[in-house]
Amino acid sequence: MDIGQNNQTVVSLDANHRDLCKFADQTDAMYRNVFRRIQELVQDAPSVVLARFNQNHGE
Amino acid sequence: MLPMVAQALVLSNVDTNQRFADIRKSTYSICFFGTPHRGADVAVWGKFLVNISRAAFKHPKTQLLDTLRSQSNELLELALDFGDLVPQLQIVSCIEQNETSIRKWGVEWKRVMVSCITRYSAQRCLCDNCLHSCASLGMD
Repeated sequence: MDIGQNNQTVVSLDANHRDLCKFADQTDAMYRNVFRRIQELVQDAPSVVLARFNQNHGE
Repeated sequence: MLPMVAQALVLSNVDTNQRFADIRKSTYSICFFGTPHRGADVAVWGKFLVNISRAAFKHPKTQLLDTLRSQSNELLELALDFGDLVPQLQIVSCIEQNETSIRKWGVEWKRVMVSCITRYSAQRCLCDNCLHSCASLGMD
């Protein structure tokens, strides 16, 4: 996994197109890879979204 | 398959009566899995898409193919419109490392290994000043 330009994360997975979003189980290395990144995003999201709504509210 | 999510967000952005503004504001991140942001090889996807559209619409929709085709105007326009939204989004682009086995018609049916969505197409270029050139490059 590498952090791409700005706000893009590129996750390179050891799979072909057909199996790209098919994970064996929750211990699957590919699953863990994607899960870690999404978990980070889930942590950061609420404060950012809340700020957006507050900002527009004040206009 | 086509970046429908991108299209939906673009619509929410240009919607004048702000019906979908909440959706746009609530969207923090999008995770793409092998999405052809910059088009795909029609030779690979053509038959697959025609079969889908034949089943869904009872007749082949060549328009779908034209949209998917690398350097198509619609993909370019979508890339440009979606580009306006990108700064406020966290993008996760999952990319396939391995080739996929498909059935392909040449002189006869045979199985071939292809790279369905290239690394180049699955990866959005997010720099501010080269959206146009990146979107119009098509596939490598």
